[in-house]
Amino acid sequence: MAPAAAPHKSVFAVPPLVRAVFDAFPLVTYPACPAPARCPPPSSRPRLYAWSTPAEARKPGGGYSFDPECLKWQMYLRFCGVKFTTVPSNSSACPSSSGGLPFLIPPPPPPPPNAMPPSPPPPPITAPKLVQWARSRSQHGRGEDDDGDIERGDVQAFLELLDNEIHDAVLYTTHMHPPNLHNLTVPLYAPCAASTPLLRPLMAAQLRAAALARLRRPHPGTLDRDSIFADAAAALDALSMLLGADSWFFNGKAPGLLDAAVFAYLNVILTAGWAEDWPGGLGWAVRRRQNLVAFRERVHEWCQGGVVDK
Amino acid sequence: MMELHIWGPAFGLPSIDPECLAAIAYFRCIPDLNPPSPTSKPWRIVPSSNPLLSPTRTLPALRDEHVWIGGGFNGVVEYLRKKSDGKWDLDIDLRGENTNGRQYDDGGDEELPAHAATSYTWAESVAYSSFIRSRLGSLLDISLYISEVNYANATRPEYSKSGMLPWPVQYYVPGQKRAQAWDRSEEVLRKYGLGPADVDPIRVLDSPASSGLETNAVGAGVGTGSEFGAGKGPGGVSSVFGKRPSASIAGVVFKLQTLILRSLTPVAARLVAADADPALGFYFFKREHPTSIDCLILGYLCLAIYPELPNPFLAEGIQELDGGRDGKRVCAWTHEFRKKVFGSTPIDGSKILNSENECPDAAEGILPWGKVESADLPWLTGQFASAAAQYIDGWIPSWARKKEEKPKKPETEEEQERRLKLERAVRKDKAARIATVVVGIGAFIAFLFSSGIISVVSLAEDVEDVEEELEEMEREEQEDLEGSQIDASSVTAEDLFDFFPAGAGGEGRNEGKDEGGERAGGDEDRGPEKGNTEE
Repeated sequence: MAPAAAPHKSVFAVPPLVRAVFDAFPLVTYPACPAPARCPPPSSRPRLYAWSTPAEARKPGGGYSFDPECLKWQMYLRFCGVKFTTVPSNSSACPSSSGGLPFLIPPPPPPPPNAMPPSPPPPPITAPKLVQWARSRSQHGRGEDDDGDIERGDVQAFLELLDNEIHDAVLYTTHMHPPNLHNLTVPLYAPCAASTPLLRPLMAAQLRAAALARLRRPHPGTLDRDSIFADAAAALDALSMLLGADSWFFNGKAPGLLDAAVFAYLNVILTAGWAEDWPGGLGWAVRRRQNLVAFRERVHEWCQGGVVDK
Repeated sequence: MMELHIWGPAFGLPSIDPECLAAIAYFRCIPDLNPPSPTSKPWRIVPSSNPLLSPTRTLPALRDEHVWIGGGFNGVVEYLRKKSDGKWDLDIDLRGENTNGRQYDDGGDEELPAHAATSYTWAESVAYSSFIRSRLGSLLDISLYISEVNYANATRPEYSKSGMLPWPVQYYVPGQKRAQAWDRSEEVLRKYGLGPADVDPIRVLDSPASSGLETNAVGAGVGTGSEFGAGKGPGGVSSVFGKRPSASIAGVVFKLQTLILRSLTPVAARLVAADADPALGFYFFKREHPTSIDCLILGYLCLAIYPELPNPFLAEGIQELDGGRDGKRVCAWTHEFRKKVFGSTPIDGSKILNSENECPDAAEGILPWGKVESADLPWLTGQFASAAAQYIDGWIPSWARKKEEKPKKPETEEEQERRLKLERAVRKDKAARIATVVVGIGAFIAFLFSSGIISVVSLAEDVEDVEEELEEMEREEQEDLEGSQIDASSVTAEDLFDFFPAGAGGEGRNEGKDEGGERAGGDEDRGPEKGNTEE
């Protein structure tokens, strides 16, 4: 289908004389300016950008994020023994290819020894690829039996349970209930609104509309609060039964992604201080399962006394 | 008599919706509700396709005498469990004695209780239900609704050909369902780096010139490849006209297959026994009787395997699971369970929906069909009123709302204050929403008046207008008359003789004058005058 004429005779080719002139440019290359003072200094540690408050992020080890998804990845990195810093961030900082927080910026590779130009900085790692990256950097030796851990059907099924039923109930509690929306969610997810009172109703409406759209997907009819929380309570019962008396889920020797995810949701449910003014909320459903509360306490102590360091 | 309301039949299956198929399968698996024929069953299937009937606006919905039960599949199952005190609960032995889990409150013993094994299966049932609904649901959405080719040629005609949706619902409900499917699967597609338009071009592998098109499954249903072959496909993925599949299309194929693999392998692994040991049970938990998870799996797999689609990537992907071994077994499981539950003959939707008798029975009386209520004016009014009410989001009419239970324990001051504050906040919210709607409608009406589309003319003004018109007419007549009088004043004395001739002599004198000679100026005056009087 190409025309018969050869491409190099095309009208738009630059004549060689002109090309020789342009090859002389740039005439002078100035040395690079130093980065602005506010730029984070290049650190050897990977940086995890997550929803967090500055006070929480300054704690040794990075503290706990208030968003279940971010906290899940924080805990998974800790379980893998990866040392990282948590950077409080928001959804405007996300790289375009990803859906949202959290994402991780790996440390730059060491400069090559024979004075070649430094390799370009590595791209940010978004949540779907974080598992592989964490495994590859893991300090602990992960045995053969752990390699198939995440891909097991059972693990996938229970992760879906957390992502669907329990996540929906958490979203309802934080975004659809006006006291929680205005007192907790907007100050945490939109801290800009604290300084400008005019922004507060706008951000509240935006957050609520996004949550409603997200909740409408699995519930195309009316949003029935009782059924959402009944499903979440059944899901928590199922998790409690799965855990039984073991230390880690599926009686594993070491914690995995499911443990990280369950801890993330339990921590948010138990420590967020929500107002749940209806019978059968998430706090009630968790507190009646002692093994879940004990699990959360155990992992919290593991975090305090374990690998955490500055 | 219990009525199970579902979306109508399609593709030879009892319903086009997987949750409705699961609900029908659940009813069919309860022995009490399915006495051997010719005893009639105590329940009916009504393919009303009307989600507004249910309190939660989703189907399947159950109607027991005069009570409506919403909540979809879970709600129906829960109601049957409560109504029969557990006799109609397929999961009863999965739960074991662990109905409220008291024994776990003390923390764990080292040795698990004896029935913990069965409780663990109930936990698995809950987890896999969620897994199937989200993963297989996304796959069904992509296959039936997002794929342009499939939607236009298979799914959309199913809604219209058997008449399951009355006027005017038939024009917008399929589009609504498609929009919901887009919302649900957008995340999944994005995670795999696929766009909505990438789903279809995987079938454009051969040009019309090559012989591959005849064997290509696309050819028969869709027409020649030239529809897709000319230029770029719908999403910008260019077609391969007479060439081998480009890398992008192969990449899309691989990604879709990965999606199918990751969603179905866990389920397939449970459905097929590793050794095909006949001693193991047939169902998901390897028991002798089905559970609710089996019904759910059947509902979703039926819609994945049986519809004949122009772009059958899902059915083919299932058949190729684990190199075809698992795939064959999954299809065989679905086939057998479907035969048991729905009957082996495909269901003819138009026959059921358009039949005149009270209980149109197809498929050898296996499924007890009921009659759909006709779409008349009260129904139509109800549709519009419900649609308007839904704009005040979350508003449920009082007859559908569940009774709020008052807290039983005495409230402290603080709790009561919080509850009152909460109620005030909720009321303020609702008032703000209603005010927005009212102000909006008022502004629209004001705009109609101000722009002159509607003009208001009162009766008094009418009368005044008419009087004015009459006056004008009179004035015009007078002017006309005056005009003619002014003309008359220029008549000379001689002319008057024309008007008033004095007997015959006058006439003779006139004629004599005319015949005799000409008088200066007179004739000329008379000429026009005569002309005037003649007029």
